[in-house]
Amino acid sequence: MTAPAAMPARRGPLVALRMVFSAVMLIVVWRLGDSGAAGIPAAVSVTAAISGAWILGPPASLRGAADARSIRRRRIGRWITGAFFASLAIGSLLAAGVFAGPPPAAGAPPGLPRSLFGLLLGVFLLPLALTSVGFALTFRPPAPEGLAALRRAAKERAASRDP
Amino acid sequence: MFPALLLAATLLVGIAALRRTRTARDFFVAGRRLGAFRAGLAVAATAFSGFVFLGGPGLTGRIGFGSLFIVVPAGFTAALLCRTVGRRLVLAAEATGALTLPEVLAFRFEGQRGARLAAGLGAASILIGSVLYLGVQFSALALAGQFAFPGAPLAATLALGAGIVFAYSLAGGMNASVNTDVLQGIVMAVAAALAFGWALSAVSGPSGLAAAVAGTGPRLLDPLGVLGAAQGFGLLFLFSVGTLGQPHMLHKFLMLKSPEALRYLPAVIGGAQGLSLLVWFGLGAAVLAFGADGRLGPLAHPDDAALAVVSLPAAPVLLRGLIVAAALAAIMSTSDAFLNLGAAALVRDLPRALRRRPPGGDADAAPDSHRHRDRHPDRHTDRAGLRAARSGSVAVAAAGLVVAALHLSGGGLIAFLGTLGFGAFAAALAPALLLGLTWERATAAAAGLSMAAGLLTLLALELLLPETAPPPAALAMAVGFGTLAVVSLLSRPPPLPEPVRLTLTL
Repeated sequence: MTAPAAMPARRGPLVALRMVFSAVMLIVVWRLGDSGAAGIPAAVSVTAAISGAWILGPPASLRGAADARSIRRRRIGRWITGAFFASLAIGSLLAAGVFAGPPPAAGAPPGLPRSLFGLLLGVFLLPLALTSVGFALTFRPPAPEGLAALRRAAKERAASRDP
Repeated sequence: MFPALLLAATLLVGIAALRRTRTARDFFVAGRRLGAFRAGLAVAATAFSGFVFLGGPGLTGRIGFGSLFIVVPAGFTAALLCRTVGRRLVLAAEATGALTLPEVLAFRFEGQRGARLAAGLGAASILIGSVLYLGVQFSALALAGQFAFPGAPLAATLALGAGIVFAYSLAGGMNASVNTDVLQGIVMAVAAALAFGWALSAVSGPSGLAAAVAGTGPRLLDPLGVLGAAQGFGLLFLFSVGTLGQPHMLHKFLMLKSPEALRYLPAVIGGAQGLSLLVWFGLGAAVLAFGADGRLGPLAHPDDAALAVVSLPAAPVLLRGLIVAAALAAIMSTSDAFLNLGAAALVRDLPRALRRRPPGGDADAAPDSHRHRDRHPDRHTDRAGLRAARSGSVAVAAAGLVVAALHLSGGGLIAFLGTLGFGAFAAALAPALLLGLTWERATAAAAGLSMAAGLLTLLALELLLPETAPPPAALAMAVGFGTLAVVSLLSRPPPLPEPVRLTLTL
């Protein structure tokens, strides 16, 4: 008996690469934002370019999608991923002190640094919402026939190992 | 009142699971019956030990909001966990009925040279780490118990706290553990939200906090606090990627009733963790403000800060009780998980690594598709497996108590080893589980080497260069990932058995 064709096992390394990439981007954007006024346009450009690239995505990633539902799911995934990186990057910019605002006038009560809100909103709360909603919307459970094939293959292997 | 109520309710809920615990499968993976809500709350409650309620606010008082770099990864780790390792663990459990993470490693690397070693190293790491973690949790339980019941001797609070965890864990195994985790997770979230509300009003809001700290250390309010960028990002890396190697969280994925339960798991985990983390920010802000304006005097230990703040006359008495109860809940939910993990490693995984058949054999681990023909093929085998599981729990609890006693009596080495917990699991298990379960090229030998390299690097750095700018555990984890990737790429790609191929690709 043959198992149903499965997707190539490239998702794991891809996810790992994305993680490394997002960490590097976080540091790059942070450092650019921290380097003063000249670094800000560069940091914003990097953010826009990378987020845009994720949203538009390589055309090949929609090929091979079996049906309209899969295509829709992948498009949602791209938007969520793009928004996730944009949130991380903008949060990093804010956290680095960009857009810190003028110091409070004499006698005016000080406020918490905007950079702190940048960290909390851009790197914590928005990613929490985006990844939770995004995962639920784009989750693809294994097909029943795939699961059946997995159980069958495991059973056959166990039988061959332990007659 | 709240701590006593929580302890009584925990004991009742836990013991009630006794009648649903008849096999090792019930004991170790709660009969594999969990949906997203229970599993999510259990993961969230287990992940947060007393450190979040007691250590976090104290750390914020010391290093400022740079401490948030430890917790902001919670914004995306739940989804990361489910998308990468979680899905593969559910499928591996579906295929083989695995009850433990080393069993998943053995399945993943089946047929390769070094598979038994990789699984054995995983089991040894989990056993040693569980005993040390458990010991530190037991001692935290004793100290928090003294706060809940003033005047009680330390030995009595240690016996009470550890005794309750031991009683329900022994009776109901993971069934009891998960049910109590749900209760404990709810207590933690409610207490954290109330503490956050009270703390922000007590410091007169964000502007009051900024005004209080302005004179003493405004840098404490910056995102990095007094940390350097390398320390901050090192913590971010460690607590995001390192989460993928925490066995007390990953083990819950083996308990899901179906892969479909994964869909809403990130939302439940993230929501519960997000609420619980309010205590870190809220009480951390109060520690900073009250420390600056002198309402909070010098403390013997930073971990005392959270309880000192809620003991101030300005704090409602009910809040104080609730925070103590939440701290107890956080400690107990982590303790019961490690008690169970340690027992599984001791009675199932290590015997297998030594080529011995575990008590009760593999009948309990058989997946549903293998079991339906004869639901209880051998009641004697079921009983033997359960008896072994409980014996293992007794041994691990006893070892944990010894560690706790040494810890409380000032055993410096024990305290040092206990604090390594998260980093040791991250360095040893995250590379093997993340790359092992998502990358076809990963080999058993590379997984075993990466575990050894990660652990040895961590120990060497902690002993020789503990003040490195990025946390030593982050560097050790990077070494583990590098070792696994390089050794795998230099090896010939191993042939994958069909069930493994399907587990990695479905």
